[in-house]
Amino acid sequence: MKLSTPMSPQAVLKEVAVALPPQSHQNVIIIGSLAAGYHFFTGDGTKGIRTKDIDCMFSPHTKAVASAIQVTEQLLQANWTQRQGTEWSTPGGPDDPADKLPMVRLQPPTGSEWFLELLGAPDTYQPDAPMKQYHAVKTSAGYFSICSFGFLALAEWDPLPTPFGVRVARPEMMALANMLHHERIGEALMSDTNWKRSNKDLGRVLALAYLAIQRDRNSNGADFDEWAARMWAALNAKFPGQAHDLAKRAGNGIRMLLESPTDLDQALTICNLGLLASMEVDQAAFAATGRRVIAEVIEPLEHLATPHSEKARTERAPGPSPQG
Amino acid sequence: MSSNLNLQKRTTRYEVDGQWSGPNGMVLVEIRRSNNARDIRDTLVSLAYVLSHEKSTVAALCVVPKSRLSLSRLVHELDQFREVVIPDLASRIHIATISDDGHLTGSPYDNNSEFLRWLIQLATTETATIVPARSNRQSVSSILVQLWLRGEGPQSFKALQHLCGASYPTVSTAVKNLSDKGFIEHQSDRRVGLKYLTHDAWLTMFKAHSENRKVLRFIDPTGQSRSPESMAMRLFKLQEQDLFKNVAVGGVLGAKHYFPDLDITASPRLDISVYGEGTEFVKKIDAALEQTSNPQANAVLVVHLVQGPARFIERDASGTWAPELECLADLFELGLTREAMEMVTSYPHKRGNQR
Repeated sequence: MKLSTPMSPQAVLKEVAVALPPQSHQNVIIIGSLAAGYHFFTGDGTKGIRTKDIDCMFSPHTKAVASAIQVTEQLLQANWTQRQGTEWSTPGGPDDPADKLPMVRLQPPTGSEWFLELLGAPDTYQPDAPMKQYHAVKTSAGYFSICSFGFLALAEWDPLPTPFGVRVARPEMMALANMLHHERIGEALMSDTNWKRSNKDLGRVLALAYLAIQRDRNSNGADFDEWAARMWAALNAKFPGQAHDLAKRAGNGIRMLLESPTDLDQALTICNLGLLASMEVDQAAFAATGRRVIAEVIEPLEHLATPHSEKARTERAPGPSPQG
Repeated sequence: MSSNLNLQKRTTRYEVDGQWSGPNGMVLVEIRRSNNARDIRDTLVSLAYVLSHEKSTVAALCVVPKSRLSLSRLVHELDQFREVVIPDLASRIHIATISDDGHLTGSPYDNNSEFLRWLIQLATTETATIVPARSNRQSVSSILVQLWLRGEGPQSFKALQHLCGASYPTVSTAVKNLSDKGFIEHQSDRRVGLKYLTHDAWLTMFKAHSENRKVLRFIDPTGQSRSPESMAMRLFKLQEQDLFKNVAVGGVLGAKHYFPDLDITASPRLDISVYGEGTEFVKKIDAALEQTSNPQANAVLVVHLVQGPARFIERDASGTWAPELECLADLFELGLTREAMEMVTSYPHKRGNQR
């Protein structure tokens, strides 16, 4: 796997925001590495992010497709180009099914290594619906697909504002989405690697926790202590009929990861090339962070979802802030 | 993962020391510290009894830490045992040793690092607490010092025996040793109490008391440890739920509780004194902590398994505090001797007696 150059998350976020039409900012939530890097590394010039894809989600679902079309058109007019060198480099046609169309992956005209990937907020959760849904969009360059992942609705819960107008997803919401997406260690591999997709995403949960704890310790804060309560509030807001069930299942994948030294090691390797680069996190520290996640996030979340803690739920679950 | 790190004794006819639930099923673990093959045979038979009441997916492991019996001897015992029990049970019982450097040998589970981490902690806790050490002369001396620190008056030998759980000869010898140095005040009704200690005698007392405790050290592999104050607050919160009542905060925090003028700005670690309990509370304080056998390791939490009564634990609105002598011994262990002596000399009833 070729490593990308570390980038300043603040600089990239600013570049993305400037390129987007101002009227679309209110509908944009940045997720993934850039959101995490911006949240944890802003102000620390020694830390950067290594990523190629900048995930840009349009929210709410009802406006996602229209916003994505508007943004795509503006970026194409500004000489952004569809990412080349993959089988998804060419726009599709009107007869192509949505799941066979390329996603919008646009590189800036500056020749940066990264590209902007446009996603849509998911529709109201239906337990039996496919987790991944595609919506065909027609642009002046041809047909593309806007993809939605079911649990990405969590990223819409109280996203954090930035000075650039766009918002970034909360780390704990990205962590919860990853946990729910991988209830077990799956066999699916990341493209061009032998790495399991689930190890990357579940490892990301531990990396986010590690960074949140580090920030708390450095600032004498207690943000990590609020993760479980916020997760519970978000599950109730986004998946009201399934919140209990999802909360009870959320920790399965992390528990499996911690019981599999090989998978845990691979997850750490991936994290050390990304969010945890240059932090010298070893396997013992990674596993210890996993134990913290179980004891301080997963178990309290499970407790909140048990019937006898009804009172605790109503007392502790915070609502989103006014911006959310 | 469906790991269950439960250290609670199981309510079967024979209780095991711990159980581990992993992807391949549950493992019941018995820690047997012995140099005697007969003890090992007893344990294997006991584990067979337990397994006969469990599902066929449950296995059992007899762990023999720090034994003079070699692994090959233990395996020989297991082989002989397996020849005489029904095959289904025999195949599910295993034996292993743990070396001083924390290596598990002989177990079919030795490639599972989380299991090994848990197992070593269980073995350390069990071997440290499974048989409460008999009260010795130092226990009696420590009680006399603690009574003095609390300003409690002279005690009868019978009361001291009761307090220490020691025999009359042990109490008598300990009192005589201190009395010969002039440190004991004898009452006409034969009650005795500590009169004073010299500076050197205090240092000797701190050292001897420290050595009379078992010490378990915990490190934070993430380097993101909570502050000692924060860890103490988490313990106190658990204790509000009636848990871990015989666990008390000592060290710098405890010393500051008794002596707020203590000239130490920050506690380097959390010292905790435990009376007759295991160390499950450590996981509740911070699940990231790991036990280490390396005395040079930068421990963030140190547990002192103390023999003697929990009677001197002080509980108030601010927390649960280890007795003064534990705090003093902790300061001494931390190299804060001057501060420990400042604390000793601060006791009002002591002033005028110090030599």
